[in-house]
Amino acid sequence: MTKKSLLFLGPFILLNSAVILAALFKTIQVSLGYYPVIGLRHYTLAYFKTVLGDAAFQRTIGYSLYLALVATILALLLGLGMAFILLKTSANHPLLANFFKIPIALPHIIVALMMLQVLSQSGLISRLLYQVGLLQQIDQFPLLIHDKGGIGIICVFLYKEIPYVAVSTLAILKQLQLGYVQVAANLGATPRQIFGRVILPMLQPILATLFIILFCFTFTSFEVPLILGSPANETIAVTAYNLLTQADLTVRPTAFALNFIMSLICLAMTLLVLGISARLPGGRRHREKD
Amino acid sequence: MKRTSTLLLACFLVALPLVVLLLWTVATQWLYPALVPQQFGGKVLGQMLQEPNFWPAVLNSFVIALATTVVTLLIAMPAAKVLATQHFMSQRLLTFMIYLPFILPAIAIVTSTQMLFIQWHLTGTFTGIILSHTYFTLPYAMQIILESYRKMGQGYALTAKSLGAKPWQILRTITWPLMAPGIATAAGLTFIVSLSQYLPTFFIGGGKIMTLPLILLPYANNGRFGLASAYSVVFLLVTMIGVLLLKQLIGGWHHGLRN
Amino acid sequence: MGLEISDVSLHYGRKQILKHINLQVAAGEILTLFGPSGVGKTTILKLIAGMQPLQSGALDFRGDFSQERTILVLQDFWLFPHMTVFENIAFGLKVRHVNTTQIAQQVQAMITILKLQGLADHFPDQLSGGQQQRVALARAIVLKPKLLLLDEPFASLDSSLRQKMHQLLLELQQQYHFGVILVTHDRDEAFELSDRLAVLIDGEIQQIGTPQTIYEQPQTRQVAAFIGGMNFLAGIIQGQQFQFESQEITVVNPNQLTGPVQLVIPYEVAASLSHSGIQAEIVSLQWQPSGVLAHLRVGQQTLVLTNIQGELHPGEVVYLQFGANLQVVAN
Repeated sequence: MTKKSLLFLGPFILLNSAVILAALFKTIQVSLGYYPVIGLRHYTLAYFKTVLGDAAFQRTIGYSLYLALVATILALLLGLGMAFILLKTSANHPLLANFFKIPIALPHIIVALMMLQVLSQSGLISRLLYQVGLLQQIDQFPLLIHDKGGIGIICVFLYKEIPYVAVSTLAILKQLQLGYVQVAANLGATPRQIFGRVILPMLQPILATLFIILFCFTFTSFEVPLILGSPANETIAVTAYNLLTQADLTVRPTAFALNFIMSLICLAMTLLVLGISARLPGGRRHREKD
Repeated sequence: MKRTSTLLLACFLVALPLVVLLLWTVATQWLYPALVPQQFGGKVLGQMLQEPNFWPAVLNSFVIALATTVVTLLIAMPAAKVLATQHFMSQRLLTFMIYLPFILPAIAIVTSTQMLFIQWHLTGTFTGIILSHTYFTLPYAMQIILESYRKMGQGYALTAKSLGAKPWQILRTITWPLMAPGIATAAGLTFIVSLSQYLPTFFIGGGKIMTLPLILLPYANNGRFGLASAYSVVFLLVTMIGVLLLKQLIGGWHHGLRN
Repeated sequence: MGLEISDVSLHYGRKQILKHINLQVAAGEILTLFGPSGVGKTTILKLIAGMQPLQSGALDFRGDFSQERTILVLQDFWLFPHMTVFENIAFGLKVRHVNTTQIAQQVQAMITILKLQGLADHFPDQLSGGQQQRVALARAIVLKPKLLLLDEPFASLDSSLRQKMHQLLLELQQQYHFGVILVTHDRDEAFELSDRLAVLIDGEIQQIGTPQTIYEQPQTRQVAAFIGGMNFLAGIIQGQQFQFESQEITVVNPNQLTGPVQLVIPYEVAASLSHSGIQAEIVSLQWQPSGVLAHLRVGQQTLVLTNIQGELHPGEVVYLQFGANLQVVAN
């Protein structure tokens, strides 16, 4: 590498990788009990044991996993479906197709607010059902916000992520439609074979990437579950936030242990999905068996 | 036909909450179970404009997002130039490195860098906030600018160099105009992402520097629909102004680039 | 006057791209770097043009040759898509801060010489392939280079256009008297344009010589195989005497090989019927635009020749004399 390349890359590496390494170092240090500000100087695994052994923390991790998986898988399926629809319709209805993409640019806080206004018990849908006579009283409307299932939270992610998945996969579908599908059909492939042998191998790497990005984001997202979540069922980021905003600094090592654990889960999920993707058709390590 | 109606339905689902949001900003009375506000007026907007934090938040948000965009481009463009043609790292490792901020939890990164920034006296400063925002916007900008560099290829810059152009002449007359559409997209996205940041502004700013998300979140959380909606609309306006401004500033040329 | 490249080597990591390259090019000479794709031909041009840092070895520009007066024209032209033909040609002058009137004059002259009249305000994507090629040449030649580096300049043109462009290049070169280093993998182009040819295989220069020498006396089997259209006749060499299939002829043996070797006989080498020489049986004859293609049998081996003087009949046994000194190469 030349000196000029180093000069050009330096700032990026400093802000990207150095921040990550420094953050990782601090996280490990504090979570292992080295926190001189409040007089802690002895390394211990106690905080990790607390987080991993405590039922409340376990529930919070499990709940976040549930939300992230449901939201991500639904977003991928529905987004891919929308991509196929856009593929056929976007040429004739460019305005509609562009309008559909708007949520990508909206911040999560605003979308959470909008869901509150639409889905809550006094929200628009509830009012609509009351007006048509399906509801006699406001509290007959099912709890979709601050509920245990996290429906409102999932709706926010779907609102933003379905268009995102659709736009990301559409680019690849466009190449497919013109070239490979015709070639495969011409060579006598059935629709099922075309999907399995042509479409899936070309799409799965981007789907894997999207899965990783969406999972990691929703698993650790903060604003949305804060606004729409149930107080009884906290997500991992909200728990960490609540610990970290307390004036009591002694809870910090526990919070950092939680931070570390959620980082590890994100990394593990990333490596797992990348590994699976590499071994599927279209992946780097895939070998044709027949 | 079926496909078109599905698209129409999807657009309706996108539009519905947006319409409700807009209605809340101009409603003075909207009690259950009315479908539309009982009274319209500018009361909420007036109330928002009276808030002492309103203008500082708008201004801070705008300045921070704009500065983050400039810093992000200044870092991403040279890095992408090197990385687009690099030989020393595998493509997969490079992609992994660039996307790492998408993978690692924001709250973990923000709270641990906060401890470092305290030591470096960067908390509570614009510099600290802008740097932390830049960390989160870099993957977006890098992705787009790297792609632009690869699409453009090295040939134009090499040719210009061979014809005697100096590095800054190449940047001004070749690279910048040819990459402007990509740079404008990257800048717009960076601006949007920076504007929406809550956690880094909250932790690194330490409550001293107000921005729109910092005001918006508590209002949304406390169910103050009117004010929260009004702030949301302002937020979207600032977004649009910023993105259009960046597009104008970066300019660009639209004469069919070779593929 | 000229450029001397001495002992230039290059590697990316552990991968060796160029090995000890030595080359000279003189004023007004066309030297061709000829070889298969991906062997570092373009890299040599980039090193000469200063587009890539030299790792080892030296570039020695002599007389009025210099790196500044060396212009690289890359494959696919890379005309700046946001500039008109005029702006493209003017680019090099503009970055040198030449004044506007002079730029206009010189660009206009180039437009006339390269027959681009009426296209000055067009954008590159409105031009045909041949026009784009001419703009690329004009853009370089307007700077009065001493050395022009051309990377596969005609690869994207169809064959009739390529012929015309070859002529144009030779005319321009006559008029402006610049040296050229041309990179190509097209054999006919290499033979047609070059004063000298350097055959580059696996990052190494295998042979430098006139087109005729390279064709008739390729130094190694690799060179012969790359040029193509070559017969290889297996036999034993001792001194200048080549024994094969119980025959013996005198050949050139510059590398002083001994033992089993291959005699190289180009398909198109001039051959005539005689009373002595290589004894061969005519197996079949096939008409071709360039002459009759004869399949011959020499003992157990076969030969293909397309340039035999005289009346041929299938089944006949003939003796062949060759119009060039044939050469042996190692197995």
